[in-house]
This record gives sequence, structure tokens and C-alpha cells, in this order.
Amino acid sequence: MSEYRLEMKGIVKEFLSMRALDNAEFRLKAGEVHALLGINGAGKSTLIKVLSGVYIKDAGEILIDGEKVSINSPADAIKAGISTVYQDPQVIPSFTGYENIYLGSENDKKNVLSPMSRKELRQKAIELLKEFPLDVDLDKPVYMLSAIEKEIIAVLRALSKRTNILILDEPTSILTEKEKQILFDLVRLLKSKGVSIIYITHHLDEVSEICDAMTVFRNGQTVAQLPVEQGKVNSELIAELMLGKKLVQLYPHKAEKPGTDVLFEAQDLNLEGKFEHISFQAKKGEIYGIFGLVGSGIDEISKVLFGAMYKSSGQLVVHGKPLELKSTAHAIKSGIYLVPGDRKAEGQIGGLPIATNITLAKLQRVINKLGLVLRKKENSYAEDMVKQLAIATPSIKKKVGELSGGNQQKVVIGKGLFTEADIYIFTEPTVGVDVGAKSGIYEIMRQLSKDAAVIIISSDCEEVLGMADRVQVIYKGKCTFRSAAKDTTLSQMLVHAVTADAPSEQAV
Amino acid sequence: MEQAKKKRISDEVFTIIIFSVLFLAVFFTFAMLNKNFASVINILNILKHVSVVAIAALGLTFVIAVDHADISFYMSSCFSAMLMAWLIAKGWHPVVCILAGIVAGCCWGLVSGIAVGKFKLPDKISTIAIGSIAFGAAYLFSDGAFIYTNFPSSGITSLNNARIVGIPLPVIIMLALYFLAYMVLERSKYGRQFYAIGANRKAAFFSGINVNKVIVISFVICGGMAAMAAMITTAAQGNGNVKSGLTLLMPCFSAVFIGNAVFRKPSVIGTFLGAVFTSMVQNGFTLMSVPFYISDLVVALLLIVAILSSKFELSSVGKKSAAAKGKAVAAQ
Repeated sequence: MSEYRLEMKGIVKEFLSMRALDNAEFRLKAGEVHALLGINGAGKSTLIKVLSGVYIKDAGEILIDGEKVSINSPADAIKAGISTVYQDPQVIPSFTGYENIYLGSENDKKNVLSPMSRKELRQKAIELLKEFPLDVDLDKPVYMLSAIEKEIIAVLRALSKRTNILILDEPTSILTEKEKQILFDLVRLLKSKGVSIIYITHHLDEVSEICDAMTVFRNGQTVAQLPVEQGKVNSELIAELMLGKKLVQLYPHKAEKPGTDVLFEAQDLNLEGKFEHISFQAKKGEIYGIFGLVGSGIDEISKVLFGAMYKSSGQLVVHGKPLELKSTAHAIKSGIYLVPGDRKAEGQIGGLPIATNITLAKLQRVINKLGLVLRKKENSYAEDMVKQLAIATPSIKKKVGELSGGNQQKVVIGKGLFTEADIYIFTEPTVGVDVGAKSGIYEIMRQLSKDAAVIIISSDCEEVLGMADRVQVIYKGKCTFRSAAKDTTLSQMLVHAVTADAPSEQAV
Repeated sequence: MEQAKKKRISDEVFTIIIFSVLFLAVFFTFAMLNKNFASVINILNILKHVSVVAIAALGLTFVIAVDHADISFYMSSCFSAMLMAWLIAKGWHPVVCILAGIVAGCCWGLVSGIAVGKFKLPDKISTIAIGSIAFGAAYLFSDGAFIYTNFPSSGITSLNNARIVGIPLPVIIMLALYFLAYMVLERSKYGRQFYAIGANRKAAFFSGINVNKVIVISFVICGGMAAMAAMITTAAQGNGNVKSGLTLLMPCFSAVFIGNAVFRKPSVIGTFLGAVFTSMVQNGFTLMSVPFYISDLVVALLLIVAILSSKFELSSVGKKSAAAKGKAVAAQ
């Protein structure tokens, strides 16, 4: 018996001319929770895909319990006892929990006509639950369940396949604070049953809370493998390992003086069932921040401000005049631009080139009298924008979907700059963006705020406090806290985002 | 990076070459099997035959560009044909009759467009229903009988017989419409909006595009173009035939998706090549006196092959080369 449950040695994976994994090493003990750390593009998800059979490695070997295995397909990985639970668990909404758990493995018989007994499946699921006592109702259709319950179903599905190496890919990304604790309990339970867990995350606090060891990746290589001693991590050291250089100042300096003209004002906005009594002023020269957890109504607020959803009551005042937004086109015409929260679905058109994306929201600027697009003009505008925003791409003809997350977001921002708006709303601006590109995007936002009103709406507490000059916190659709950022601490913000009954501080 | 870029361009050129080779191969096969096939008269015939399919397929291209499907256009074209014929029989001027038919086609498209774009009904099912209503309504003009009255004297047949510098008028109309459509779809601001909606509807909405309106417009264009196809058929046949448009469905979808396979997006030029290709195949079989159902069968096969190749070619070629490269690296 080997000391390690899993060993990966000298793993190499190339895509065209890029080395995504370059002699990567990874070792995992039995019953260990092992964090995989690294900025986006460091190679951690490629490693996981090699391990789970999605990609086939170009070189290197994988050993399980000291024995060499070959993993050439997801089926091979499952046979070797490896299962993955992805960020957004794939479940069939109309099926019940136990039907989802045994989806595709209802029975062993090959005969098409051999009946599948729901009773039997349910019994099997109940036994599985006995082994892993988790609080979830398996009889409800999955669409009625919360995010964490779906995640539990996905984990149970993995466990039903005699999994002893479980990969959790950013499992907390869609969970609330409370749900995170449930997930951590689940992880501890699995650990006590001897399941080894590979835990991919961006959050060091999660690592210190539940992980036993961590491996840091950078540029496709393993740079460090460290134990987590007494639940402590040296965050500075880790950040240095991840970035390979001294951690740069992430957030640009705040505005030196308070903002001047009020360009954008929300007065007592309401959207039934989503949020109520939302008021704030966004001024030229500063950044206004709205913080709330996922599901608190912040996404809806951002959409109402852009005319993508209609408010039930309240008033928007833009450039000093009341404005009833009729559509997103109306908002853009009025000088408002939204960088939407879901970049892939709402922000970019991944299948079209960078240039086409950038000019899309204001094609009037690149057409002649007949309405024909002047390609030369368009290309030169796009080239300028790529330069101005430092978008890393070989050409403006490259499809946006092929860029990295940070560069995709820059294209979406570029599309906004092209509309020459003077009110910018950024919703979750750095989701799926690596640390290096993050600071670039923050710098762009600060630059923008010099001549425009910038509003940042995010579920990342640090980001809002780091960027904004004034902030408000939303809890269950209501403002629970507002203050100047310099007088506010992170914990103050967070406590107001998770409860309405926090002791009231001095409001500004 | 450089390599990747070169690779993609050559992939695109690759499919265009494959298509051209296939096109020429089919052409010469037919030419060898039948000596009339490559004659000037027959080629003009093919082009004339193309014009009907090509015009209807051109309208469909707009709907496919916004990532919807219209299954009503070929049935609404029957309605337009019968309306035109009925008005001609009543003694109206042919131009008025044609305009009325085109307006009617646009109206049917508008109904489909509102159902799909505004009320968000499922496109295929609702357009089948709306098209069937149009087809049913087409019977009302003459209880389904052919309408011949006034046809020779009204002058509508000259739409088919007239030639300008030796080129049949339907071919000229087709080329004019294709030029217009090219300018709109590939070069204008509006074309951008069609493609943006087709590629990511939500992102288009957040870019300030009136998504519903553009979808409605695409259906109106499709209905209008189908009516123009009906106009040419009616002029060519010299009568109003309630079933005149029924043969359009399969060749039009084939034309658009062959174009889609060649250029990797629904495009005006692609649809044209697709329409010429399917018409050439149909014509070739007709000259060989092969029964019509065989050529229908072949056109349907072409459609499947086109859909298949647009789905698989790029990804599998890419994977293969990546895998080959990976092996080479491993060997080193």
C-alpha cells in the first residue's frame, strides 16, 4: 500500500502551442482534504480535467494506491473511483433527488425492457443516506431545492459510484454564507469516511477552515505543496506563490475629493418581491458601491437601473431630469451602460470577433448614411480600444469566447466605453477574472470615474469596499447600511449583508 | 498564437475547397451522364429554377440568422400565389396583384414573427400552425382549383419570359434581391443586429438591441421573400396553383444549411451557393428522368450532410490536429 491515495507525476498537457501543464506534480493522501490553488490559467482546472478523463494527458503518469492507471475517458476515471462535482451541479430539474443520484446507473441489466424500479432506487438512496447522513429531501423534484441541496445531490451521485477521490470545483461559488457551513460539514463527514477530497477554490479562508493540505500552481507547474497547520494559512506567502511576485496593490487609490455633479440618482426604487426603497446618488468623480450577497436583489437592482427590468415604483433621475427607462436601447441613448453580472450569457457574444462586440451597442458611430458599417473605421476604433484597455489578443478579429475571462470582461467594458456613456454600472465585474487582470479592471474603473459616475454592484465584499468611495449594503432587497467607505470595515459590511438586525452604527 | 490563427483560416478555406470540388464533381458527373446538362439553355434553366428556391431561401436565411426556424413560409407562399391569381382573374393590373401578394406574405410573416418574437411561442410548432392556416386560407379563393382566367392576357407571364441582355427576368430579380440582402445582412448595422441576436440573444439585449423587433422583422422578410418566390412560380406556370409552394420547404432549408456548413454561419452568399447546388442536383436528376421522389430524397440527404458537417467538421479537425501535436510532443 502506498502512502498516497493518488499520485500524479510529470503531467504534461499542451494546447496548440501553449503548455497548460508543464511537469505538474500532485499527491493526495487517503482521507485528506487537499486544496488546489492558483490564479486562473495556472493549470488547476486542466489538471482536474486530466484526472477526470476529460482531457488526455500528453505525458506523465497517474498512480492510484501505488498502482499505475490509465485514464483516457470519464468512464475510466469513474472506474478508478474518481468523481467530479462541478461549479454548477448538472441535475435534471424535474427529476427527484434519488432519480438524479442514480441517473444513468438505474440498474445493471442491459435489457432495454428490464424495468427500473423507483422503489428500489429510493431504497438504495435511503441506504446511501444512512451511510452519509445528510439533510436533504430526496423525494422532492430537484428544481424545488436550494443550491446547497443540489450540490449535496451531486455529491451523493458521486458517492453512489464508490468514489474515493472526490473533486469539488469551486463548490462555494453559488452558495450563501450559511450554506457554506453546510457544505463544510459535508466535507468533514466525507473525510471521516475516508474519502479523499480535492478542493478547488479562490478563497483562502475556506482553505484554512477545512483543508489539511494545499498545492499551489503557477504557469502549469506545481510551485509548492504545503500542509495547513492548525487551520492557519500564511495568506501573504500563498499570494506570493500564486503570483510569483510581490502582491501588487489590488485596488487603486480612492477619490481624493468627494464627487461633484450628481449624474444619476435612484429615488425609492421598488420591484415587487425583489427589492424595496432603494435610493442613492452616483456622482461624477467617485465610485458608488452596492454590496449584497447572491440573491439579495442586487442583480435585479442593476437591471432596473439599465432598463432591462421594469421597476414597480420609484424614480430615476439622470443628468438632473427624471427618466422613465423604456428599454436597454433607451438607457444607452441616455448615457447609461451596464456591465452585466453574467458575462458569458449577458455581456459578450462569444462567437463573434472582438471588433464586432465592441461596436455593437453604438453602431451609429461606424455607419455611413445608408446604414452600412464602415469596416475600416470600426477596426481602427476597435484597435484603439484594445490598446486603451490593454486587452491581450493577437488580433481584433479573434472571437471573444476564445479570450481569457479578464480579457473578455475588458471587451464588455470596451463595448460600454464605445457608447460614450457617462454613467457606468458594473455588476460582479471580476467574477472568473484572475488576480492580475482584476487590478487592471479596477484601474479602468477608477480612471472612468474621473469623468463619469461609476456604480459597482457586487457580492464580493472586499471588492466593493476596496473600490467604492461610498457604499450601501443590501439584505433581502432592503438597504441595511450606508456609509462612506473610509469609515467602514469589512466585517461591518458583511454583518449587515447577512442580517437585518445588526446593531446600527452611525450612518452617513 | 500565430499558428492557431493560420490553422483556423486554413480550416475555413478547407471547407470552401471541399464544397467547390463537390460542386464541380456533381456538375461534371451530370454533364457526362447527359449531354444536354451543360448546355447554355439548360444552365439558364437551372438558374431560372434556382431563382424560386433561392429567393425563398434568402428570406429563410434572415430567420435562421436570428437562430429561429420558420416552417410557415412555404405554405404562406401558396396563399400569396392564390391571392395573386385570384386578383388577376378579377382583372386587376398584374403589378397590383403582385404587390398584394407580397404584402400578404409579409403579413403572414408578421403573424409568425409576433407569435415567436413577442409572445415567445415555440418557433417550429407555432409557425407550422400559422402556415397551415395560411395554406387552408389559400383554398378559399377557388376551393383549391387552378385559376387560369385572364392569365395569358394580363401580361403576368412576361415576368417569366422577359429577358434583359439575354438573362431571364427571374434571374435578374433574384440577383437584385441577393445584392440587397447582402448589403443589409452582411454590411449594414441591421445585419449586425441579426447576427448578434442569433449568437447571443441576451447579450444583444444588454447591448441595447431591440431583440423582439428584429426577430419580428426577420419573419416578415421571410414571408415577403416567400411571396416573391410564389410570384415567379405563378408567372412561370401561367396559373394559380394552390400547391405551388409545397415543394419549397426541403430545398430552402438545404440551401441555407449548406451555406451554413460552408461559411460557418447563415449567410447570403452561402445560401446562394446552397440553392444553386440543390437546384443543380434536382435539375440533373430531372434530365435523367429520375422520378421526383428520388431527387427529393437526395436533397433531404444533402440537408442532413450539411447539418452534420457544420456541427462536426471544425471541432473534430481541431481535436485531431491537437491530439497529433500532443503525440508529437510526447514522442520528443
